[in-house]
This record gives sequence, C-alpha cells and structure tokens, in this order.
Amino acid sequence: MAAPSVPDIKEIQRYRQAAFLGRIALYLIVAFMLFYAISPFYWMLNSSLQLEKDVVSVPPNWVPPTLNIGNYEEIILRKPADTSVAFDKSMAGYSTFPTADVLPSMWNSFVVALGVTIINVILGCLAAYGFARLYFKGKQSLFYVVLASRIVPEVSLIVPFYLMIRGLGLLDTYMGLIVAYIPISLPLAIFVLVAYFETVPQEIESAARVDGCNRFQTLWRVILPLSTPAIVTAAVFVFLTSWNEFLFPLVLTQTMNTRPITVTLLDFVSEFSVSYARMNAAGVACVIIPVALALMFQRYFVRGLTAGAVKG
Amino acid sequence: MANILSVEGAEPAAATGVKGWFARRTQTEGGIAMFFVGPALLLMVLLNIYPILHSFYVSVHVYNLKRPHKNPYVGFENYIMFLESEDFINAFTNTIVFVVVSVIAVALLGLIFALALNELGAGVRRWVVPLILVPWAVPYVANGLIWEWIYHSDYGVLNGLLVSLGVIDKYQTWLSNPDRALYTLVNAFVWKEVPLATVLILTALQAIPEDLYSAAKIDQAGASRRFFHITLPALKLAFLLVLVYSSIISIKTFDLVYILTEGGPGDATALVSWYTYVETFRNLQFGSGASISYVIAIATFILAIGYIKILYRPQEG
Repeated sequence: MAAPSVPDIKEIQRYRQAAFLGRIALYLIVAFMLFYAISPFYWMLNSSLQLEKDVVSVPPNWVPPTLNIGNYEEIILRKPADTSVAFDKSMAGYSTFPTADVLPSMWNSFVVALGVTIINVILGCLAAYGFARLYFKGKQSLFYVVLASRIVPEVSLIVPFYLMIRGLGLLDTYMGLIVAYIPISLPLAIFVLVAYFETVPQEIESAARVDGCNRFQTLWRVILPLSTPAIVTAAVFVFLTSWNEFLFPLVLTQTMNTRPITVTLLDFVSEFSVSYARMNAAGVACVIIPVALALMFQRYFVRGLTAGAVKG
Repeated sequence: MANILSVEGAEPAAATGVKGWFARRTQTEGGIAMFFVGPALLLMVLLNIYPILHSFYVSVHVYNLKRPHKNPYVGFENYIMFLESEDFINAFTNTIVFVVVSVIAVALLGLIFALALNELGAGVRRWVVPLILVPWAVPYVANGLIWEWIYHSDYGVLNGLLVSLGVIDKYQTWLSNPDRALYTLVNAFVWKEVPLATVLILTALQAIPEDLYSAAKIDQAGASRRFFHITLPALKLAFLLVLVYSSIISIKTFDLVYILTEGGPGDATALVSWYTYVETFRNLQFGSGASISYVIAIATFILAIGYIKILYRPQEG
C-alpha cells in the first residue's frame, strides 16, 4: 500500500507562488473597483473647489491649485459671482445665472422624499405581512401584478398623472409629488419586506398568537422588531428613489415652492450660462444627502437584501 | 346552554351593523388579509393601474394638444404608424444595443466585484463595500452631470488622463462622436447600476454554507469545479434579480439621455424612452407616445418572463 503522497518542496513553492499572485490580482481588482466607483466623485468635488479659470485649464488640475469655496457661497448664498474670469462676464445670460435655489430645492426634495418614505414603509410593512403570512385568494397573482406594474415606462404614465394631479388640484404641491412618487417605490419596498418577513420563524409568531396577540399586534411586536435590516433597507430605497426622481417633478412642479434639486440642477447645466465650477458645486449639493444616507445605512443592506437574493 | 344559543341566534342581526361587518370580516384569514394588503393595493390600483389603463385608452386615440377637442378613436393605427417609422426602428436598435451591452456589463462586473469582495477579509470588506456602493445612491441627473464633465471634449478629465498616459495624443470628442456616444451612455449607466448588482451577488455568495466547499474539497473537486457546481448555482436567484432589474431599468433609461446627449449626435443615442418623450412632449402626439410605451412595456414583460423561465426552476415547488 502506497503512503499518501507528500508534496515536495517545489510543489509547495509553486502553490505559494500561485497564492501570492492570486492575492496580487485580488488587490488589483479591488483597487480598480474603488477607483471606478470613487474617482468620478473626486473629480466633481475637485472641480467644484477651483476657480473657473483653473477648472478649464489644459491639462487638468488634479488637485485645486487654490482652494476656493466661492462656488458654494455663490450657489447657496447668492454671493457676487467669481470675478476672476473675464470669459464668464462676456457670456450671454450670465447675469441671470440661477443661484440661491439650491438650498430651498434640497429642502423640497427632502420633505417629499421623507413623506413618501413614511407612507410607503407603513403601507409596505402591512402589505408585506399580508403577502408573507396570510392566505387569501389570488395572492400570488396580485403580488406579481404589483411588481410588474413598474415595467411600464414613466414617460407613458406622465400624461395621465399630470391630468390626475391637476384634477385633484395638487399641481405644484408637496402632496402632488408625494402622490406621484408612492407607486414608484412601493412595489420594491413590498418585495424587500416580504422576502425578509418570510424568514422570521413561524413558531415565534404562533407563540405570540397563543399568548393572545391579534394579527396587528403580532406584526407590531414580533415581526417588525426582528426585521430592522429589511425596514431600514426598504426605507433607504424609497427615500433615494424619491430623491432621485426627475421626470415627474419636471412636469409636475412649476415654481421654487416645490421644485426638487434634481430639476434645479438642470439650470446649472444649461448651455448659455455654464460655469463648470458652479455646475460641479451644484452637483455636489444634489448628491450629498443620498451619498450620506447610503454610507450611513449600508451596513443594513447586506442583511436586508439577503432574503431577497437567496430565497426569493 | 340557552344563553349561548340565544347569542348565536342574535348574530345575523348584528352582522348588518358596522361592528358586525368588522367582526364578520375578521373571521376569515382572507378577510383579515384585506386590512393588511388593502391600503397598498388600493393605492397601487389608483396610482398605477389606472394611469396604465388610461394611457392605453389614449394610445388608441389621436391625442394632439394642438387640436385639443378632436380626439377620434383610431384603433391600433398609432401602433402601426410608429412601428413602421424609421425613427422608431433606429431608436429600437439603439435600445437593444444599449440594453444588451449594459446588462452584460452590469452582471459580469457585478460578479467579478462580488467574488473579489468575498475573498477579502471581513475587516477590509467592511470598508470597501460602502465606498463602492456610493454611485448607486446618486440621482441619474447628477450621474449625467458628473460624466458630462468627465467626457468634456475641451476640458474633460478623461481626455486629460488619456493624454498624460500617452494613450491618445490630442483631446477627443466623446459625447458628440456618433460612434462613441452610445457607449459613453452605457458607461454612465453601468457605473450606477454595478454597485447594487455587486451587493446582491455578494449577499448570495456569503449565504453559501462553508461546509459545501469543505465537502467538495474532500471529494477532490478542483477550484473550477467548485465554482461551477457550488458557487454559480447558488447565485442563480441573485443573477435573476440583477438581470431582470437592470434590464427593466436600462430599457426605461431616460434621465441620462436627457442630460448627456438629448438623443444626439444626430439620433445615435435616441433610445425608445427618449423617442417616446420627443413624440409626446415635443411633437405633442400623446396617442402615439402612449402606444410606444405600451410596446416597450410588453417587450420588457416578455423579456422578464423569459429570464424567469430560463433561470428560475423552483426546487421545492
């Protein structure tokens, strides 16, 4: 009987070399990944902190030659424009450069997104409990109809919506936007929550029912406290989807009373009054809250999404 | 006994009152379910199904805002008209290229990134995952702004970087180059959608029990066999989600086109959603715009069913 083969020194060395090369390849991929994800943000931030004349230099300045927060002062406080650039002054429409709309429209975005989040998380939790735990006729097909309804492109819904919102007298109001945003993210919230609720052991719920809890109490006292990751995930999804919405507010808002930051951003990209430095500063204003939210709550996502990605 | 009987006898009368209705409803599980599912369902019907149906009604009429009081029923004429138009066929072709390239890129990059993250130690991963997730959080409008500035033909950093690396010797046009414009859109799209795909695939990877791999190693299965027989099958559902989700999102892509190219140069980046927008809001042909959306929606639906049929075979029924 042959003894189990003992790997010789060379084989061990080769194995170690392969492992070492694998490690290098891994770190290269991770480095590329980080560069790919982060560098566009760096570039926007970098450009937003430069003077206009530095922003348009060739080759580009990899870091701001002089740190300049003037662009932010201008777009937020409506301070006098950066006078270092003759190029800007000669441009048509420069004097009407849109400023000071940034903070109000960030506030609009925030209020509307928060409203939608509260409504959709409450409705989503109730509906998800029904779909995950209760039996009723046509459950499966209803669930699919809810999910599939999002397939229709927004572009085609915008006209019926405009007529409906106008009919309700809600044009250019927060409520009008909230009403329009609800169906956009509700299916996703329900999907995430159903998948998670289904992983909560049935026995815990049965125990609560035996102890005299009705269905609402079971949901409130047993299921919800165990489902924090999914609730946070759903809430962040809904908030971000609402904050990021563009086509609906483009059509449904008319004044600065309700116009969200995504629409205000257009003013900074328009062709006749371009200041690249301020455009980037406005871009930073538009992304700062979504990015902060994603960073703050991302630790919940992996757990919140696991049920959906593994069990369906 | 008599007391109990009399109470039972009284019940039908009470059922006509409000309290009785509630009591009767909550007798059955299906009745209770309506209290949970009802509110969400009602809103979805009012705010989603109704507009969809209304938009179907619009799609079989001529709706032209220039003639607001003449909306004759035309049957499927709108559908036939746009299906035969060259602009639509161009937009359709562009969309297919955009969707196929985008979805493959999202799924492939998502898989590579997730596999790499899975190999990292948990300590490092905790720092890397949030950072790569950031692009996903950004509105498409801001995404468009970021990339427009990067691609800029006179001052863009892409040109600056490529020149200083010696890849190209003078600044190039990207967004206004008909051969490149569509792929610059793809890149902006993929940049935003890869993070979520990565996280979805990563969660599925981390849910694979370690024992499976140990058992396979004992059975002398090589790395590639472990990958194809354990890892990939476990990722099926995550892949299904990624494919369906990114297909739906990419077919609907509108904001990026609006900010970055407005369908140009020429009609090189006119995707179907952009074409619908132009038809609806610039040509003010609401009927024809609505009919295009219907065809897109049905095509998307068929695609989603196709994915599910191919990838999703429930084991336990």
